[in-house]
Amino acid sequence: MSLKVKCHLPLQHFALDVAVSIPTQGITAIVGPSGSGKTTFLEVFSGVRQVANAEVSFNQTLWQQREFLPLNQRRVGLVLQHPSLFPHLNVADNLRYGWQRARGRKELGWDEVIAACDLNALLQQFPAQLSGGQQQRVAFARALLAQPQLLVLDEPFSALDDDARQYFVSYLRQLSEQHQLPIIWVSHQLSDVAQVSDTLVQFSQGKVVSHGPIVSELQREPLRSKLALSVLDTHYDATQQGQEECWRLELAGQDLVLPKPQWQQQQPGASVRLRVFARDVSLTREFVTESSVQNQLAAEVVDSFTARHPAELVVQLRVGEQYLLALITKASWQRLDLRPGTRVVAHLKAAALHETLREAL
Amino acid sequence: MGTFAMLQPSDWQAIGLTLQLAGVTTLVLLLLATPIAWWLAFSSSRWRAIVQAIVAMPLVLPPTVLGFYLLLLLSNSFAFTFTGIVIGSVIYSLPFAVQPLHESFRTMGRRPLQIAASLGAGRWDQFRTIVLPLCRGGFVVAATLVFAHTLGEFGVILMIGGSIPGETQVLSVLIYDHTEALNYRAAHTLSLGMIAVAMLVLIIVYGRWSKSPLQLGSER
Repeated sequence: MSLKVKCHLPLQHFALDVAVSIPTQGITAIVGPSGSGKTTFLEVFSGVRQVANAEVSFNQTLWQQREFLPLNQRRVGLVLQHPSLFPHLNVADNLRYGWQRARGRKELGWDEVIAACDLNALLQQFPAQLSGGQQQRVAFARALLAQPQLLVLDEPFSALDDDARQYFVSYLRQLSEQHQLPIIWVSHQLSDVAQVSDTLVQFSQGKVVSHGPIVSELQREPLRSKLALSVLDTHYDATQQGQEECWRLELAGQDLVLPKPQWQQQQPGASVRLRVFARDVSLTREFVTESSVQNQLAAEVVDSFTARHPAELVVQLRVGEQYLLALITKASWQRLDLRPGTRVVAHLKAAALHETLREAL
Repeated sequence: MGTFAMLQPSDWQAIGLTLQLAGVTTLVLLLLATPIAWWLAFSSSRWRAIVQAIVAMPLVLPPTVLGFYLLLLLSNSFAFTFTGIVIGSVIYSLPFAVQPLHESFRTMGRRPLQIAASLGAGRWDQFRTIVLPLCRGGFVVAATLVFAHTLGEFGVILMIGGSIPGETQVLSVLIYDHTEALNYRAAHTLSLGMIAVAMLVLIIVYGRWSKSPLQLGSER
């Protein structure tokens, strides 16, 4: 099941030239520098823009080949950076616009979405009375209530503060898993999307330069040395929980403890995806007892690469079956006498771990 | 010579005819100008500038030029009929309908329509629920300007309609006839009446014009 897109469209400085197949399960992140054609690509496949000779199919349904299926028949939920609320309708009527036009069974309930987006207090307001972040929340809820079969987001949470953004990121995960809603998310902030995405599509100059599962894309150049971010899938063990404000997570037989985010309820047996920047990981040869860093993982050096700064190295480590990146200086590499195959201990600062709850499948 | 301010039946007939002409012209122009303004606002065709120029032509041409060619064109059909002066008025007031609509469609932009489409609204549905309320200001201004402009029309009507009472003799033409006949009192009465009406209409238009169409749309 996938979204297949083929198109060629001359733009101002380059041509959008894409032939790609995006899985319609889970969350796909489309990233790339500003002006690399991501938004145009999104407009082409969703049907906002009708381009000659483009070919689009969604799960075996032809959206465009010789015929062009109009946007209003595609059931694509669009949430764009500019919320584009209808200024002449209040929040409730904005939300009702798609809700009333949705036919068939309603997978996403009115009360559920309103509560999830915290809109109860705003229903009678007009868009002009809302802040940018509130408008984005309304736009997001409005798209969901129209019962889309595909949710397309273009920097949808740019006006939200960090906490709210974290919350919505985890809500996306929930939508994807509980409602099997495929989500395509365009962003120029890779670190934002890395924690929830399953698939990563990278754009540059109108072309797809790379695409694949996020976990493996992060371990490939150029992301490996430029972004130096890894994701670790861990398990939340409900029986092992001690302190109120901490989480105990299990990874390849080893324990991690980190502060519990306020916005998440505990789900026994859930899996938690951690996102760890290489700069937050340091290495020693042995376990250290007298340190403020309490998360230590036994790991094995796989390889090393020159980082952005020529004096630094990104070290690729294996923890169980997963990969973790650490940023160290070349001097440390020599001092610790590291080479592929060396057994080391990776230290992760708990405060540096950003996590998302993944529902147990 | 009648005494002051007593309108003759022929005056009333001209007033009725003028209102009828303005009403019909406004109706026809709203239907005609909406698609033209829409195309101007959203098309990227290279013909846009040319179409825009043609639409604006009546603003710069003397009404006699327009009337002259219309007379040649309609001489075998609608010249010297009510239909003839409606055709003339429609062309003459076209820019007054197209420009406010063009402006309000442009201010609205495509985005609200794309969003409405993604929420399941078809074209007619979008027009009814998004375009009409958001561009209400533009429609009101277009209608008022066309109506008022048609009330004050003279040259084109005289060229293609002449001055046939009950058929083409509208107020402006009648005032001209009164003046020619040195019937200054009657000309005065009608002229002052027109000044008052024009003033009222313009105050209404400018009162609304000062607000952007989108603000007009969000009034409740």
